[in-house]
Amino acid sequence: MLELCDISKRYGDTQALHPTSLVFPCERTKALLGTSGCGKSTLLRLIAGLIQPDSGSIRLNGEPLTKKNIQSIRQRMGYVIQEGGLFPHLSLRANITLMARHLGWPTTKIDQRVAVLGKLTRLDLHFLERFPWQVSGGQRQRAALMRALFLDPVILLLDEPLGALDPIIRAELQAELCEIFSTLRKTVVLVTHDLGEAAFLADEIALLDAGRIVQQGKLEELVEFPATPFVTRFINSQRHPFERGLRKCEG
Amino acid sequence: MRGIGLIAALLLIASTVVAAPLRVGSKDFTESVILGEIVSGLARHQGYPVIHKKELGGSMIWLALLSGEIDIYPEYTGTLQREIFAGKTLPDDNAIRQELRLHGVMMTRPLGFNNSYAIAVRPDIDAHLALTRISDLQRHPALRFGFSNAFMDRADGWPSLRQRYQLPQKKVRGMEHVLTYQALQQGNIDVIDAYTTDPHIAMYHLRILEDDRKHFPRYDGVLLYRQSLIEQAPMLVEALSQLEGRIDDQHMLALNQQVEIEGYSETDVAARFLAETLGIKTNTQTTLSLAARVWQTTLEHLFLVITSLSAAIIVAVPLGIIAAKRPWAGHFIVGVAEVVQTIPGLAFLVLLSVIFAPLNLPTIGAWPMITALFFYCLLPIIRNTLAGLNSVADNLRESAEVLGLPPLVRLRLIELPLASPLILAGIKTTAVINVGYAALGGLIGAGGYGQPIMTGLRLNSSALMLEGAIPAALMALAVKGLFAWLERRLVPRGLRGV
Repeated sequence: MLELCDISKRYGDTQALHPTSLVFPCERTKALLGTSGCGKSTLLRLIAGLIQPDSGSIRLNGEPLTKKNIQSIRQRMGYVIQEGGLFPHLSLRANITLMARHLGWPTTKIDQRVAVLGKLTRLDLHFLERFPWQVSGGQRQRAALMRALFLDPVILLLDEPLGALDPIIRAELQAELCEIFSTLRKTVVLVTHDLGEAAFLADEIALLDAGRIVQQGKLEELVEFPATPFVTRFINSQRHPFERGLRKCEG
Repeated sequence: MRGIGLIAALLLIASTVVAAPLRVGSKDFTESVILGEIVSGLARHQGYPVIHKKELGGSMIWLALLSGEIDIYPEYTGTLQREIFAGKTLPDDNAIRQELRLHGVMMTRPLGFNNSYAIAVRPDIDAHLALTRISDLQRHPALRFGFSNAFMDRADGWPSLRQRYQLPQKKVRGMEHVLTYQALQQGNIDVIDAYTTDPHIAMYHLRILEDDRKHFPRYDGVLLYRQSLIEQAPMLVEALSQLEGRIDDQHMLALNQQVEIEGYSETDVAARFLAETLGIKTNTQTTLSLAARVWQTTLEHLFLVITSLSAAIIVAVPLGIIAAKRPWAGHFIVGVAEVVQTIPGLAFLVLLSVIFAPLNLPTIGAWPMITALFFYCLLPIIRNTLAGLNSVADNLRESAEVLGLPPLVRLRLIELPLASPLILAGIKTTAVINVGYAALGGLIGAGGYGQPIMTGLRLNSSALMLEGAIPAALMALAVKGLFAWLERRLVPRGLRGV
């Protein structure tokens, strides 16, 4: 279980995140949803320890994150950054196994893990010898996911993992991710601006606006009992383009 | 262990049996080099091994004698009075001798010639204006002066000459001495400084103006040597007396003419002098072939370039890393390196010799040159390392961080490989520039391609200048090729296709 207790973050004059408390229950997927600049990425970066909160604390299974233990806690976190963040000078295999090799895993154990994860993410193992720029965007994301899952982390952090993909690949990968999440049963934090993606992949949604959590709950709850007019506006903005287009065709 | 002891013992014995060679110095003009060769020939005749460090820059040679990097060199009494001991009043040779002794330096009696500064005028100007004395120049403020750089700066040169004679001329240029004759020939300048033993005066029919206000002192040629030479090479010190009073003005002029006009080497001219004047047969070493000379200078040049560049890489890459990680330190590091970069080459060498001399570090030869090159190499490598590390995309840096890799491992496995194309490009540029800069080594006897360029400049010989310049250009190209190959080997394969 991941607990955020009254954490806040300010960049200069901008309050990127007002004091926020949030709980990510075990083996559940929670989406942090919102427009760009709403504070969802700041929240994720705070969890990953890439930036330090101005106030408040973060606890993973009861253990508070500090500068001292961040290195070891990160080994229990898998992180897929926007556009994958694969290292261009390393092959996919070298990217995926980097941390395990650093920790001195035996080769056979590494190979076994590669095989298991390759199957899970449906990445053909013969792609592994290629460099990131030699494979498609979808394959890059599969490899990034393999890298994040390699040490079998307790928590998985995903920052717009499908943001850079074209719609068809994106839909395919969404389905696969959904399957992977239910297979692995990990605590997942998913940052996205896409309502459909959040609703499809997550058990619960936390909608953010201007550095605050506006509402938490399942999609139905957000639709039927919006906490503020913003919630309705946000939902409608993502629902309307498709429906408007449909109506125009019918009309 | 016994083997090491044996080697040490052998080295000890060898060092006592094989005497350290005598080091003769000479300044960067023909007369000084000829005198240096004469002293070298004499010393060899006495059975001493000799190294002649030729063409050392004017102010550095005195420091080199003081610090013991050379044992003996030819000097002029006027230079000692007006330049080296400029602040002191030394009316005669005895006063000079006493002052020198305070520095542990001995002086021979005058060799016989007085190579004074003189002011020379183009023959057609002379015919037109009928000039005979320096004070006549006062009446012709439009005349254009072209003086050697040394003369422009020296205490006994242009500044005091202008004051003494109240000269009104505004068009005064400083240039390389040999070029003043060309400029005079082409009519670009009208008046130059010359040396009275300079064979070009007769060759170009220049009119020497009388020093009617006695501005220039006597510049009697003498030899300065370290006191320690009396014990180190007693026979040579004794033999030096044979040279005293043996070379008069005409004789020196003739020797200079043989080199500068007739094209003999200083070694040959010195050998002939020793044979004819002192009856000393020296076995003139056969001069090296062109290929052998180029090979020799190439090795020396490579030594300068490789040593300085390697040291700079070892220091500058870590400095660049520190600069990237700690911006405040980065400002300081880059700032200092930038200041160093702005110091002109020759000024830097002089500065180094001033710093090195009291520390008992070499002020001439390869090491001060390597030190200067090392400092020149720092900035571009630091800058490119910094730029390379800063160019690593934030999302990659963060990916490495969130994986849980410790900072040093991230640097080694991720950031440095990603920065390597820029770092290597920086080293490549530095190496190519370094090949050119190393030619400055000719100024302080560091060897390399600078040596033939310096000699060529002194003798106005294009062939000699090209002997240094062409291989230097080829080496620069070769270095570029080498780094192109290294880039293919060292830049990670994954980055080359991007």
